[in-house]
Amino acid sequence: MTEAALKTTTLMNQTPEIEKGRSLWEDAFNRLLKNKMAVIGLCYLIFQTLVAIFAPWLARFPYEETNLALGAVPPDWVHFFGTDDLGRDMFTRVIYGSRISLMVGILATAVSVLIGVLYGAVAGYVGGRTDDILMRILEILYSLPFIFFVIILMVLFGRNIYLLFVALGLIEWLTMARIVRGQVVSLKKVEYIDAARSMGVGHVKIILDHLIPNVLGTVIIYVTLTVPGVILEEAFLSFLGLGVQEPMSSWGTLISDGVAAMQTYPWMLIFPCVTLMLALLALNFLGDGLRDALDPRASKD
Amino acid sequence: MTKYILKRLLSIIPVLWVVATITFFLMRLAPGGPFDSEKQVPEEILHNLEAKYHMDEPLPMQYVRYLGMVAKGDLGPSFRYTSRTVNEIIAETFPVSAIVGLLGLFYALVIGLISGIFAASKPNSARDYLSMAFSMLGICLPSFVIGPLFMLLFAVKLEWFNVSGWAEPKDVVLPALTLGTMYAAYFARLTRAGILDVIKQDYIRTAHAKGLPEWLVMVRHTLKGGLLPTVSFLGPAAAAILTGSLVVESIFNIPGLGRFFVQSALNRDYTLVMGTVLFVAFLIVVMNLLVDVAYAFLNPRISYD
Repeated sequence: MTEAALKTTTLMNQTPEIEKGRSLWEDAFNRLLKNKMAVIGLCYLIFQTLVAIFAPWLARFPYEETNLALGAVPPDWVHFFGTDDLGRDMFTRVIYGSRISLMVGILATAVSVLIGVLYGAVAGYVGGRTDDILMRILEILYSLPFIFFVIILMVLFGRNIYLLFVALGLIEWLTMARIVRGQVVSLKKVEYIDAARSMGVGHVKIILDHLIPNVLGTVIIYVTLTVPGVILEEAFLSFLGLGVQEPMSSWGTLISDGVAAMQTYPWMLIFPCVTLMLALLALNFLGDGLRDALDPRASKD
Repeated sequence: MTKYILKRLLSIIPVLWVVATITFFLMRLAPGGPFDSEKQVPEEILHNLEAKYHMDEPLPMQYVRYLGMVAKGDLGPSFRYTSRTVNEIIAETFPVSAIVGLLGLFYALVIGLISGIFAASKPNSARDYLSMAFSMLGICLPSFVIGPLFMLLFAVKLEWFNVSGWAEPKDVVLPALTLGTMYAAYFARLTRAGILDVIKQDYIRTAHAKGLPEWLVMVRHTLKGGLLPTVSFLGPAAAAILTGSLVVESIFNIPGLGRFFVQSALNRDYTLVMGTVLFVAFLIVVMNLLVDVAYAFLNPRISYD
């Protein structure tokens, strides 16, 4: 969230590129391919996603079945990542955990995009008093300690995974709304919007057909920064014991279990930590690369 | 400027009102109450308890009563720690969190500034790539990953520090490092970006043309403008460090505000939860205000009237 928040200012201050046919996207894609770290990040993410999707076929042990007789064994050729103190295969738990972590990341980001883009587009497009009021509300929301509310929600209403998606999405839409509004305010003055309006195109159609497609680049950049933020927040909550519940696991719960056992079974901590870190690194590199590719003027050097 | 500060101070009130309202109704709408416990409490005792804390009144009345109390700065008695008020608990636990947080923030700033300036002083060189690679790594090391790793390394293996607890002054070191590392990485990236942005400006070229030595240009001219993004991130960073304390205090077993918050939420200690959230919101708003004022002083191009 924070990484993204600091980029917000840069994103908001520049006038958006105007799309010329498909070539802009092609250009951007070519620029992205030249960025080695971003490509590696993208490949890793594709690999990680495939592993998560095909987890039931890749796992050689059931993830919920305990084997107390086996106990915790260090990594070997049978159990790549070792087993936990209940004898569950850590490799299986990590790849099942990535399903939850990635799903939370993607779905909560989707919630934030949906709300943020609509809110920002309406505020920026309508302008005037509506804009003032909507932005005031946003300002107030900004200073709320949201993660505390999420904790209260999770404690009071039970650890429900759907609630988690929505709650985390509700935190993240604020910055998205601000960025989109900034872009729409400057786009609104562009001639083709005037042209559309003078032809009698309705407001809703202008927002959907002309404004939103043109802020898409910025939104994509911001999405790649939101996903790691959400994954971190989910891990944070799970670490506190407020995320997903046993026998389901996410990277956060696995790290939390690992911390409890780290002095005797360090592999229980190390493998989930490394997996989480690799995913975050890949997302951050891809995000940086996308920002440079889609928004050449924003890149600083 | 005075007018701007006054306006901002006034805007604290609606924020706190929203926070108080949301937390109040969130807590009350949820199933379960503060007096639920394992053993069945007799009916009369329950009645007496509810009467004592005014829980038997209709919800709107409780809400108004609570707002009135908060307006006077009284956060009420704790439901669980019956002999103590929320104000006392916060006064006792917050200094602990504050010490850890301030040290963490200070460490983050020092390391972030040094490595950011170091990287920006020679862009696209080996030192630039190296410090940026480290900062990218730092961004991907959340407190609940780096905390246990520090603990494993410095406390268990090297035995320089205690594994957990809050008895000796040195117990503050590992938690502060844990809290600060991620933000050191952000500060480094921001500082670097800020400096590289300023370095292309005409006045920097003028300074060089005057024959000023490299370091003097950096200290006197580049840093003043180049540190603006870093300063504006101080507010969010301080707020994030406050939330980070939730995890770090649990990992290192420190009796601070964060650990108390999680515990009180689990206990459904209504007043303690609401009091903590209000207090944290207040801190965040005040810190943002301070950062904005500092920003205005550093950047004369911004006018606030």
